[in-house]
Amino acid sequence: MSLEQDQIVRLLFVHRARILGYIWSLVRDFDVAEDVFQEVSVLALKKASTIRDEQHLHHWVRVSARLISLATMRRLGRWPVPMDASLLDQLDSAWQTIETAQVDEPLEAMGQSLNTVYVALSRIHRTLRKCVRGRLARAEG
Amino acid sequence: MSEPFQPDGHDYQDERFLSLVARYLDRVTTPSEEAMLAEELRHSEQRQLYFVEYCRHAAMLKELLSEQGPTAASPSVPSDVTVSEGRYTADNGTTPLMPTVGPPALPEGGTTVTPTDRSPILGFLGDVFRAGTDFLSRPPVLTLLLTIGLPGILLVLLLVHIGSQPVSELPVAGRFVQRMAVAQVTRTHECVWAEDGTLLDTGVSLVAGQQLRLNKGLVELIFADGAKVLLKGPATFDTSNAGAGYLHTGSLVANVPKGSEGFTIQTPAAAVVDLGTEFGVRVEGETGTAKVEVFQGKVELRANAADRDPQKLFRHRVEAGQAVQVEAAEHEGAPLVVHKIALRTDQFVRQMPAKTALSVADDQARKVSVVADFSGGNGRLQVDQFPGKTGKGWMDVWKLGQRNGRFNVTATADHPMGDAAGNCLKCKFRGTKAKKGGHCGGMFREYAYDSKGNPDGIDVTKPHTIQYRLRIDEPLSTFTRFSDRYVLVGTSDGSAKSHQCDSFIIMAFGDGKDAGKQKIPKEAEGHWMVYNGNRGGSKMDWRRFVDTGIPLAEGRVYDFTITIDPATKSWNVLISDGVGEPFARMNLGWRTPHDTPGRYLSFGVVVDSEGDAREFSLDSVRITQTGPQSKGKP
Repeated sequence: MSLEQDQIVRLLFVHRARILGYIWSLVRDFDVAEDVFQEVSVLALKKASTIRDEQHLHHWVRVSARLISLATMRRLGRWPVPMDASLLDQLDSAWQTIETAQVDEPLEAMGQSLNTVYVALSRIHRTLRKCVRGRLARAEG
Repeated sequence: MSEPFQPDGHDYQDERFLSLVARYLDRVTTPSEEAMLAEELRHSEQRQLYFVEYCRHAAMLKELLSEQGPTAASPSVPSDVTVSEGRYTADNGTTPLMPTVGPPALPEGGTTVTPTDRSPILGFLGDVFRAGTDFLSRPPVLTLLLTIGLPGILLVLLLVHIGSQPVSELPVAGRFVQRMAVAQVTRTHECVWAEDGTLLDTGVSLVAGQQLRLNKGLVELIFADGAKVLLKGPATFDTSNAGAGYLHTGSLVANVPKGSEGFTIQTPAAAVVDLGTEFGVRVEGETGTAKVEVFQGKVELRANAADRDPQKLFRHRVEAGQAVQVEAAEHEGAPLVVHKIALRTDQFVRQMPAKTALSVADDQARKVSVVADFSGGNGRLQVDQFPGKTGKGWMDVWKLGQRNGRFNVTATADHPMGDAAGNCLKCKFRGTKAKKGGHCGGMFREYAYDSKGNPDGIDVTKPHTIQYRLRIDEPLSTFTRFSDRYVLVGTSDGSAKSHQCDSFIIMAFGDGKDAGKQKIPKEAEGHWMVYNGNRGGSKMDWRRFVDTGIPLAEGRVYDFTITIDPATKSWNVLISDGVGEPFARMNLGWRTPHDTPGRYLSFGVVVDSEGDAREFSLDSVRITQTGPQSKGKP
């Protein structure tokens, strides 16, 4: 029993930010991180038949992302990286911890309903965008 | 896993550490700083967790701003005003974590790194939040901020962004584009859809950018931000996002409740921005001219190019009782051309006609897969009897579950429900044993084909919509305690109770105070409530119930529409009692952790004492496949 390709796509999407964050912490360049993420995604789809379930996918993606990231850093001449293998192993455990965290845990802790917070924050998000535009416009002028 | 989410924790506010991480991600740290960071991480698990949380949040923020921020969305921002002009313009050619939006502090060429101790993220946010003081001082936002704190908001914003991407993900041009539900079809009336358009049923969720092509009829949508739109065919309309839509042609009426101001209807001629109101918009297909009529409150018309050039804002306000015509802009960036015109209120439909929730025309327009309206009465010879027989999409007969009580169920035409003439199923459950909290009963029926291979059934691995009509037939005089309940669920376990394997749960309680520490609010007692599960199959958490505000009342008929989305383990609900405003909620979580919902539709009740009884009637059960249907097992 293995994951279907569409399940892998969906899971990669749901966890995109976390995976990107992980890769970014390794390569320290967001554009490069996006490229690595694409590479990992394509590889995951090719290897779909060997990925058993969601948990296996998380582990597989982390290992692959780390290998590809480090190989990319070598290729770009950004070597050695500031964090050695033992520290990266330690951080991997921390990444593994947040993989299992429930998204709505903090909401429960705060006593907020998901929808209430979502609506309020979507407005904040719009305001953030407006602020950025305004500041850029002023800087331009 | 709770520490990283503690908004008030001392370590989270350790700006020096976070600044170091931000600078590390931007590759502007010195070797000694990198060694210091590595050392701190090596010796503190808490620091490790903060580090990974920060990286994740920063990646989300980066994506949010790059997708919707000025460099991506606004062509008027010159190409030379980019993040590369920021304080951290890098010698490594990379994009810094955050743009610095103040006056450039760099020499010409922008190639010198000027590190500073100020975190780019924290500094940026400080600027932004100072600039947004007006917004933040609004009561609801202020309350939220005071309640959970600014850092908490940022965390939750990012977490919610991850956690609420429910509908579909499409690979486009090598990149994946997320699409989330932004509105829901809440009612339809005599709809005829364009042949090449999508046929939409009540309860269907709409994603951002989805187009509705309506040839005839009326469709009511509720946007996630709370605005209600009544679209009249012929019309072409796009759902842009949770607070906006684009009317290409046709007419609509938007009703925007308090708190949802800012809802925008874009047209080819102008954007109509709500300032707390009810208004109508009509777009002529050939000319693109927009007619705007304000029934209550006021709206602001904005030239379509206004956002692109803040120095040339073209705006025009329209007050209640006024109507204007806006000519289509001759070229991009042109100012508004507005004429006052006479009111033509008759051109707009402001109310959905009564009794439209389950209209005949809609049934004809869509494929109804599985139906039970008890037209055959009682017996075992026809599918649509009680208990009936297997067939026409039903995998089994109606079954009863009863513990310490007795169910009397009969199909009868004595007391038809609403406009649904003919039989309905009259149900009465009475407790028969003196046992505290243990009198429960329910009836249920299996509708999915996956277990027995009936291809007429519903593929529960695909989206489907469940509709039924239910009437309360008891005076509710004994519906007074926590163990007095109505329990309507979709479940894997054919019994009368709510289980950890339930997908959707709708309940009503007589009293919430016995729910222990997870007290149900007093005002929600006696109301229909919907369960927003954590998709974890965990113990029932009473705090997860959402009050619909719709009270139970003797003789009242309720129309339920439940849409199940297995891809995201979510469900949408629409409840209407024909008296007040319908209740609609999208993206509620299942209770079950399983990938597929249950195959049973269950109607359960609980009574709190011997002799106590629950009485209700059921009719017009319809289960419709709303997504692509795969073949059943041979």
